[in-house]
Amino acid sequence: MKLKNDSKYIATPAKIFMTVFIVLVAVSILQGIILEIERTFRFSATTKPKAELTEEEKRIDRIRSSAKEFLPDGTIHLVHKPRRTPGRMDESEIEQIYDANDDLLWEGPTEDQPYEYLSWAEQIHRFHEGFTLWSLKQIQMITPEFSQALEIPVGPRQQIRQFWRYSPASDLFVGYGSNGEKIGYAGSTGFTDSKSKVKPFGEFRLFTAWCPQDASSPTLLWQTQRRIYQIDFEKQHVELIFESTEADIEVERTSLHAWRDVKPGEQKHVDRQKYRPLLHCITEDGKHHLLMRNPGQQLTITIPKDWQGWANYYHRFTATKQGIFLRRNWIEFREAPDYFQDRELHGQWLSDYQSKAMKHRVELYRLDIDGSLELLNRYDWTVPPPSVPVVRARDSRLAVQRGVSQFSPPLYDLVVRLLGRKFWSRALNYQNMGDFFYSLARMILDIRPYGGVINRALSAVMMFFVFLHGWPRRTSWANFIFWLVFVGAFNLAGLLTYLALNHTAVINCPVCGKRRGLARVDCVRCGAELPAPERGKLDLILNT
Amino acid sequence: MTETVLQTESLTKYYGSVLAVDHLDLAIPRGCICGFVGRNGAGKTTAIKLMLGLLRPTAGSSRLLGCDSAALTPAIRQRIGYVTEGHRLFRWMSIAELEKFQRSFFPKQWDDKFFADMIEYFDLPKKRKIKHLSNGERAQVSLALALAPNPELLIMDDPTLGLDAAIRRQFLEGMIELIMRQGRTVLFSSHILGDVERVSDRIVVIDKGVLRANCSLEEFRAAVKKVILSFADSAPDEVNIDGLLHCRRSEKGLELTLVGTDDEKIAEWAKSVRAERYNIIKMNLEDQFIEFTALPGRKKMFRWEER
Amino acid sequence: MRFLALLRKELRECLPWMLLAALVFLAFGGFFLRALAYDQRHYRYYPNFSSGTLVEHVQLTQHTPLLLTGSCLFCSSLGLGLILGVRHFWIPHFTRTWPFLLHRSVSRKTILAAKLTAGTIAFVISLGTVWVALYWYANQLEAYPIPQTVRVFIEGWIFIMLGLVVYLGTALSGLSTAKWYTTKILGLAFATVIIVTTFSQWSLVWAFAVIAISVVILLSLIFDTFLRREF
Repeated sequence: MKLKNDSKYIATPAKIFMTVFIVLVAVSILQGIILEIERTFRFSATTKPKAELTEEEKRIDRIRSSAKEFLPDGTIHLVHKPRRTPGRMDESEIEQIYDANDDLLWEGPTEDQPYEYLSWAEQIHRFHEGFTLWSLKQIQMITPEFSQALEIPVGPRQQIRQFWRYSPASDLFVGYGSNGEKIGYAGSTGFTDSKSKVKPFGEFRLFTAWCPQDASSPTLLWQTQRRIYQIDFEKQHVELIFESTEADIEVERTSLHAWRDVKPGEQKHVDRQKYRPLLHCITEDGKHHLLMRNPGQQLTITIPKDWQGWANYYHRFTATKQGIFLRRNWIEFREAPDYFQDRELHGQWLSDYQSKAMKHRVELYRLDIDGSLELLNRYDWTVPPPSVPVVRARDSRLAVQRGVSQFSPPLYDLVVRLLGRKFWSRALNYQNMGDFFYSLARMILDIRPYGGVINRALSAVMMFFVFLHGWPRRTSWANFIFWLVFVGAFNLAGLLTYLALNHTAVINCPVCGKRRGLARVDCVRCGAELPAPERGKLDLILNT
Repeated sequence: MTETVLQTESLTKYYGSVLAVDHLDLAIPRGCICGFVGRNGAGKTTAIKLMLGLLRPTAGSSRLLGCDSAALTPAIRQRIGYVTEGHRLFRWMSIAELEKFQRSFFPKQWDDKFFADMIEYFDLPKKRKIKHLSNGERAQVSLALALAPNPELLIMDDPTLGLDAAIRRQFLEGMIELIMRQGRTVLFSSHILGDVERVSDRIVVIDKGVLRANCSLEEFRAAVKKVILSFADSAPDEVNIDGLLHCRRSEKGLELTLVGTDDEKIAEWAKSVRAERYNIIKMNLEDQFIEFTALPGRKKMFRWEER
Repeated sequence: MRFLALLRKELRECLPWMLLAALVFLAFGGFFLRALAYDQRHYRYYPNFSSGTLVEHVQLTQHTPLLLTGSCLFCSSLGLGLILGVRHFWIPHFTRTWPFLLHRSVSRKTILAAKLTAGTIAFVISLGTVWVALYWYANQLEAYPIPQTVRVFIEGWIFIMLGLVVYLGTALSGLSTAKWYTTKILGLAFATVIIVTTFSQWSLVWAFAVIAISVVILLSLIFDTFLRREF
């Protein structure tokens, strides 16, 4: 008589889930290790010393590696920095400046370089200066050392008067005095002493911080989904710099140029006599917004549609007292197809990209007050295809990836298709999803089988094995079919899970002689129950 | 009709592909003292654990006090005392703490005085921890814990294993104390046939998971006999006496182990084969058990066996 | 009364480990809190901002003075979970006391419930009490310039719950009859994955969700295994 046990209705699915989850993690780790081994050996194989280059090759290499700089009148120079003698750190860094016809204009130490090129608004990169949403989530990560807080001290180090701590939950800054008492709040409406009067900033995206010339405490440029604020904690002032009413501000491409006043001699120093502070934002509708100071001005530029879709294209802006300039870099080759949508197609694109000579272009435009563009200069150069080992390396990566993905669950393909492109694009945005989901999404897209024939064949072989293994052990048809489908859907992980949960003993049936499991009282083949042993004639079984 | 307190029906247990208990059919009536014997690995402990619901049978069923072993209710368990193999108790507890723990499960049945008397009789200090007791002392505590709730059914798995003769005697005396109470039933497994002989009125023999004997002790004692016949010339080639279990030959003699053959038939057969003389050997229970469960055609290993 | 007797017995078995975990956490956690609070109080971790310079964002992110205390709490919690899991579910197997325990006049569910309740109480009392005390101390203005965030307090409880997850994972592994190199370690492996997953979260809601789901899974498996297991 079977023991009545209702917990099995939760426990059985839980056990299957837990086992397949662990096994999937283990199989994925193994697949990842194999891919890393390939990468390690591939790099060792391809890091061979280059043969001596010819003069023409040296020239092409010099042009390729030179910085393409523009003078304010549109003239282009190629600034080349030859490599120092290895080990000779005492040697000054030398610069060679060439014109567009490849004639040497000047050569000497970098600090003596006579030209003043246009300097450009640079992107706030998360590893560089900007504190992005990803950074905010990182500091809030649950770790054994606890999460961190964003705190802005006000006052010199030994005489801190106030602390302003950002509260992600309420999207406000909460102020504390030097004795720890609460002194106020800071939000989109400014600094207040009452929480009811303050409003949140909006969904956080990015900030950058600096200490102004006349202050000893940081000022923040605080970017949200649709707005940019400047928050001065020392003066307790919040200024709305920019608001986009139609589309969100893209995170990765917000750029600064002299917006914040930093000390002369700092690496980021910009000549304040020549340049106007510039903030460059790109909204998700593709428009570029330039916010300038001295004098204040705001421009919205729509980039021509035919500028898009090219490999390695990017735009930078700068604003001098004389004019506003746009620099456009691009390659005459269509941009790569989505790797995660079609790995094979992307691999093919990459092979083409690396096997052909590519024409690179850089252009300088002047912007009018109405946002129209005037081409000032253009320069292009051709980059030959890389050496053969790199191309082969890419092939080996694809081959190994194809190999390991044959053991991935076919279910991955179904999940990818069902969830759709939008979902995966969002999942691959680590700003939104964070490391964990990003890594998970990346893993699924990287090692999914892409409908490979070998993968399907392996699944079929495993299903056949499960059929042979499970046939004598079956307890019910539903159970048996479930496991067949399960193994088919999960491939290797499914097979291992099945074996972990179903490898029970079998015996030869005493009646029909065929193999049968013991989970059922009757034989699944002949239906006979286990027969009683033959009683010995001399057994003393006397029920008195 | 006597009530059956313990009943098994085709009780079968496989460990993996190894058959441990094979279609065990038992019915122990109330008031019976049943010795459960078998060789090492015969399946005694497995059978007891199946009866107590600690193992799940592959096939068949078992009932204790009318309740399915697989679903023994707390109320039924309260009426059953169990002495585990090796007397495994919580080592960190003292005897007093263990008493308090055990008592909480038998609020109405617990006999404080009986337990205290038993502990005093065994001369055990109540504050001593179980880990500081010897095997024998632990067995005494185990028995006291099992008997103090006055159980209707007492199941003991090799309770005298590893105990010296004096402790074993005390242990058995404790058992007899329980037996003296009316309507109590005891099932105990043991390798020490002397103990079984001393207290049991019923014997169950299990061999390689199969039930070989289930009868009263007197019936078993009367049934298993050893007869030694000597002949003037050689012994007959064919031995066709009823109830022959084993036959061992010497040059001019036969040693027969018989089951269920009465003395008259033995005499008649001896006469028919012209035996010079025959002798029915008086065996103790241990010898009878060994003969009953011996493998046929067992080779002699030691030279003295040939004498 | 029977449940209480079982609970008392299980708690008594936990007691030395509870005390040890609490003492270790209090000693090390308290020591680090005092040391770091002193540094915080004297603004040793606050940078000097010079006028007209860039501010790296790492200069604006601050750890709580409880940071090393958190590590102590996490380690104590994991250690306690492992030890209690072994004590409750592995040791009876080695000492062969399961048959004695299971023959109590209570259902198996009750026996298991007593063990799990004792384990949970052990965590709450030993580590929870010390954590509350240390958090309270860290909020005293003598210790640190500004009060701690509620989030830190909640995260501490997350560490304690992770210890509970380890306890349940160890219990499941202990109850498994499989070989250690096959599926016996699944319980511990699952607990490890849950810890890694929890530490990948920044949202408290998600962290609690992960822990809650894992506890439900582990509890259902433990109950099912214990009720069906052979001893």
